[in-house]
Amino acid sequence: MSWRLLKIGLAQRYPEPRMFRAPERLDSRYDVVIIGAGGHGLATAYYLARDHGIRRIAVLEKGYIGSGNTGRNTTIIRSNYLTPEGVRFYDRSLALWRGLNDDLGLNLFYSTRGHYTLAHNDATLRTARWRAEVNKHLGVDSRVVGPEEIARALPMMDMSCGGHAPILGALYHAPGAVARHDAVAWGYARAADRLGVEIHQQCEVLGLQVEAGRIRGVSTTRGSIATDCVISAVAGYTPRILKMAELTSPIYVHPLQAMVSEPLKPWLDPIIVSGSLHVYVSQTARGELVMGASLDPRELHTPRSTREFMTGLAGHMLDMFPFLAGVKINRQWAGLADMTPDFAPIMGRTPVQGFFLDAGWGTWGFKATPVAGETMAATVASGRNHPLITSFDWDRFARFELTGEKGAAAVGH
Amino acid sequence: MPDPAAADDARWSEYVFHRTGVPGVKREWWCHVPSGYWFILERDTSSDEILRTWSAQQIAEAGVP
Repeated sequence: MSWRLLKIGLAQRYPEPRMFRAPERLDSRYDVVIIGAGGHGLATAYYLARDHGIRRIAVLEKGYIGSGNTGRNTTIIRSNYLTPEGVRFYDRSLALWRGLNDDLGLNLFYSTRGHYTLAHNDATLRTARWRAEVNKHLGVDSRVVGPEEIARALPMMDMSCGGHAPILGALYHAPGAVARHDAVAWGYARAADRLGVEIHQQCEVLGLQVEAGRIRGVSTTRGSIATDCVISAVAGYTPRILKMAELTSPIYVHPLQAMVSEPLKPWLDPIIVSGSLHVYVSQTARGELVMGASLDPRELHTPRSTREFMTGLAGHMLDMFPFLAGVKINRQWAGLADMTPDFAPIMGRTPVQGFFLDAGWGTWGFKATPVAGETMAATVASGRNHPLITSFDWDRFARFELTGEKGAAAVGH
Repeated sequence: MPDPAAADDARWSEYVFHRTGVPGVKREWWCHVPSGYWFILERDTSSDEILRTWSAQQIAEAGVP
């Protein structure tokens, strides 16, 4: 080894910074305890500290940060939803995403690509037109495009989709984007840590202390905490946390699988979604195709991959892009989707005073990371559900006022 | 099932929408789609282990378990 190289290595001129502190002990009391250090939990902690001056915040994570659905999604960011409430909410998220690199001081690899939701039949085209009109009405850039425009943008696509599902048109959403999911967790974690938030990994919540209808504390594998304010942001583990507060909910948990190909030279600029073929795909900056499909058909509380998923998705991918036949799948994985009957989240106050919920994110949570953090923080600070999330409240089911986003939230149903 | 005429909205909506969301042993109706054969299966929703099944014949003879 050269002497110069050794000198540089030992000089520590460019030391490796810690992204966030690792506090050894859990304190006995905090102003706010957040269960779950995924994107949502960490974003909530960041906005609470930055915008609401809340000082003593602990984020408790049973694994490592972003080890849940934040690290397992297919990174699609869009606001082309169906209901006006949904569109306003997700569009606020897009506005936050665009400034997030600068806010967090970390490159999130946010990349605007354009997003096509393909229509293979009249019903889907009708939903596409509905979404386009609602989007345009609220200032969101979405429009219906015909097969000629799609074929021009995607010359390598088989427009007949294997001959059995010809593309009639698509909902085109120019602001559609992707980002590096892990970086979002790390960016929010570091930014929150710098504002004094404590992040406790390998710290599992075992119970919630509720007295006379209000939250009093949390017990964990690392000791007990007294607090008047708990936020649960644990996605697929939500029913287990709710049970600790003796609450039940409409949430049901199914695995959602995904897979990634070997890297290819860049050929796919936009993000493609097909409800009829149960496929969504994008190409990362590293050249890999990240692919997902519909929810697993049965309830399961352990993420696991199946051959059936991979072969089914591969088959549908080849319907659209037959030239990929020789491309290898590198990796498969799964997350746990906390689904709701109306494909909209459950956010804000719960029947237990001081216990707030950020859940029911199913297959649509990653894109909402910044706005979920912002609105949950405002909700906790004021004690009232933020205006952007009132349609996602816990009580809507008792009022039979569901916020129906099934037409825009997922594929394969 | 609560009496739909007597239950208030909150109670009725719980019956309609709420689920036993936590992991555990559940009994489910399953359908083998190619043959249209329905049966009941008891499964651990944490490990995906199938614990026992009831055939269409057994259900016809002894009722839903």
